Amino acid sequence: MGYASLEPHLPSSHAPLLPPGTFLSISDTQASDGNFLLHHFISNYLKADHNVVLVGLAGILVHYTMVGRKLGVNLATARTKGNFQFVDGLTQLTDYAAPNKEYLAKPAEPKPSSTTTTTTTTAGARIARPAAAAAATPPAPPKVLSYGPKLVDLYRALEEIIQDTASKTTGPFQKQLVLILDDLSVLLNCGWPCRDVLALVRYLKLLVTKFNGTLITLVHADGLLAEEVSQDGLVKGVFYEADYIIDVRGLDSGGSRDVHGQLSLLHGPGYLLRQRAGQVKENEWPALTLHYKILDNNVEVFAKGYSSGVL
Amino acid sequence: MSSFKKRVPSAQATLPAGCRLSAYNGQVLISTGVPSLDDILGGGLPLGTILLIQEDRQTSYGQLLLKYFLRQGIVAGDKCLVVSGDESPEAIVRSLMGIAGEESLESQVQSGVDNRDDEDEARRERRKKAAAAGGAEDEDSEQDRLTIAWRYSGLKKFESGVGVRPPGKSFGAGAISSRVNKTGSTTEPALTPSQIPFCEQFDLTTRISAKALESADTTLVDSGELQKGVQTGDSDLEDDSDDDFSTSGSASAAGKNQPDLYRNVLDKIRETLIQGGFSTTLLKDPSAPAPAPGAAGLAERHICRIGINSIASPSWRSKTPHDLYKFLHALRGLLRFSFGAAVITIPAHLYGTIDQRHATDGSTTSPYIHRLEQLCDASVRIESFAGAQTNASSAASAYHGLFHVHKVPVLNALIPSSTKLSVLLDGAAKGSGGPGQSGSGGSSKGVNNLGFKVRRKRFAIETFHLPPEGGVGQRRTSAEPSSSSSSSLSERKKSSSTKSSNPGPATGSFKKADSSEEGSVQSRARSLGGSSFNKPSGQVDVHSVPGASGMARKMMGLPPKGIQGAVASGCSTGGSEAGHKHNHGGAGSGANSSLLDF
Repeated sequence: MGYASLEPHLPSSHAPLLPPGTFLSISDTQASDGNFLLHHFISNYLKADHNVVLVGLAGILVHYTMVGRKLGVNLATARTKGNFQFVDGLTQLTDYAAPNKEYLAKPAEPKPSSTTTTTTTTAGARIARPAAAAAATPPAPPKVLSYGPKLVDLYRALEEIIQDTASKTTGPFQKQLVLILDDLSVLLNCGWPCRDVLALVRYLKLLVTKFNGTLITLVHADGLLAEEVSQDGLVKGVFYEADYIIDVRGLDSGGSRDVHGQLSLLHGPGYLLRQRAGQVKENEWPALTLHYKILDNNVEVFAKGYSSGVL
Repeated sequence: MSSFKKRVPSAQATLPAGCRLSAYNGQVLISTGVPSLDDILGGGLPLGTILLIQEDRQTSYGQLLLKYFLRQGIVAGDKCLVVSGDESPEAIVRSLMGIAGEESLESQVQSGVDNRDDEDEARRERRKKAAAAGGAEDEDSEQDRLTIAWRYSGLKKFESGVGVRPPGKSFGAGAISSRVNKTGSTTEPALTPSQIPFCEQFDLTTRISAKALESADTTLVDSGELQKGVQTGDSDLEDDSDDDFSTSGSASAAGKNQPDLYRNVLDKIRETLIQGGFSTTLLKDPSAPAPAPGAAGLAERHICRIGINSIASPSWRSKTPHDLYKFLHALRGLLRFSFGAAVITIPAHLYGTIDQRHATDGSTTSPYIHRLEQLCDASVRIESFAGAQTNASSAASAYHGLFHVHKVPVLNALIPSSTKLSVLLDGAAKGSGGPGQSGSGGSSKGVNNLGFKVRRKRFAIETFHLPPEGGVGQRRTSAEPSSSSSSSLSERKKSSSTKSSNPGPATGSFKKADSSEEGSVQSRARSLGGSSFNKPSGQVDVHSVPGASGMARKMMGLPPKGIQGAVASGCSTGGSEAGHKHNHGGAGSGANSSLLDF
């Protein structure tokens, strides 16, 4: 399970998961990276056997796999099961990186287009694995977001992947889906205008709602960047779309050995709307500020002033 | 019995030359050529990452770090790709430093002159200082022993830096001379990969030998030349500088027909990585069957070191401000799947006014640079005193400048490995070791103030502290017997009176105490309401002479770490001198990394 001490502070209606159809926006700063929260949700959703689509715009699969291992989740098996989809948004995202495609090994080429077939046959392949060990060893390479001049292209690609993932879940119990974007600032940095990125977020939010899903995004919101119009617009715009907001930043008083930073759990406009409409239980998610400390394979979250260094 | 096998270092053997595994997360690390910088990064620069160095103004320490990085690559036999626009890359490679001890074979090593270290230099300096202090103090052990603040002598020795050599790899003079002999006889350096040191020691007074330069595997890219090629195609002088909101067109239209500089540089890098076989995913010949990524070829693999000098200086023309972002993002995507690492220096001071912003959280700079840092894995900033507009250099003459760490690599883990391993960033590795350090205010997470000094044989980054104000001589002359002490101290007068020139040994010896010690005594006296306090053997009366507290405050440059809190509380009422303000703030919050405001 993700971080046990964080659980009680998250929306309570769906236990360790977020309520479907909502949008959680995480903002962080350079000094205090909010990545650890993403790992929390990845591991929680996978543990509960739900679907996760992770778009790695800043990191590669190995990173998430290694951290997942520390948290007790095996992303590799989740991938072969079809629960976990990793989308590579690093190697071919921009027009600068697009020529990488030409140098990729050819045998790997047909595979990404036919991920559905390979993963559906994994059940059969698992039986046949002792015979064909060589074929079973490499799981299909992650899907790649390749360069398109418009963000609509990215949206289409993601839509296809999500539909793919959702279609495979045929079972008695309805699976939830979480789409995680790590991180949105990359899109802005790579030259797409702020309003396009915001449009993408809005579209994706609507899309995942159709699949009983949740959207989680990470965006960098350093105080310094508030001076830049586009960056500031992105942060504010994303917050405006959000149901839940978790703001990760360092302590105002500076660094400390026992407290790495603070988490502000905030209500987004979406939450307030739903609250007004009576869709939210009383005290589902009290907004408050917590402190945290990152350990090797866990994160301690505690109330202000309750760090082990103080008590 | 059979299940317990001795772990043979097989993993070590299959590493490429000049690499080692991180003790924390098993990353393959390469050295930057500077041991203390390696320490800050958590043992070394992980493969597949980008280190951004924000240059100093008016001096070239940033480029010096880049040279260390490249030179270390040549030692290890790595591929070095040098990109430079302002200065020709060839000039940079030619001006690389030599290896310490290598060039001076004939003249010095054999004649027995030991010039290996500057440790002895420091010792000599210390001795000279001691001689100037008037005491004929010659024995080193006597010198190191604390005479007054004897309570602290049992504590661990405070270390402000890391050793020249990483522990475990101790190359003595013998190793050096043997290498010298070998290189003298053969043309090739006859070191096997396992013998290549992770971090070599270099001598800044020498230049790289022609032999080493010949054998070095370098690719030079002159971005100025590339620029010319770009400019012939189109006239982008009158290219309108697009706003952020209208760049959707330029992001798309800056396609094939309009080549730009950063794209060309990236193409060169990609070509080098692919041709050299450094990439694990991109192949030279895509149609050929992919070779098995076994560990067999790992030992003879080499690393591609990419050094980019002064990126985004005015000579690097770009169409949109996003070119550099895209470049870095694409470069990261390339490197993550390659046996390579990049060090990029950038004249960040051109992009923001450092001086007015650095006060808050130690971060620099303009939003532009800040966004660049998001796209890099590690980022450091060098601030040299020579180029500083404030006159801080006079206060800290022992250092050449300040060293700010903005970001350290976090790969395959939740926390950066340097918080676990780094000595300089005051991680848990050293901080919890000694009782004196763990109680030192609890400020951690890379908030140590770091300074750097450049010696002949090393570029050392150390924890920054100011020297005692005024120095030894001045303190002696202005020391007045303002407080008296009795029997408990007088029994120590024998050791201290050798150094004291005052006629009254008892009072003098107390006055000779480290000023901060006196401060702490006074603070305790103040907290006791001015009453005297007892010692087992006798009584010490501390008279708070009005002048004395001011004197103590004046003499307190920067107190030793362990008793910082006591001192700060002792003189918190004062603070009349502006020069001391930062001390108190630093002890209280422990976060302010800027020492230049005074």
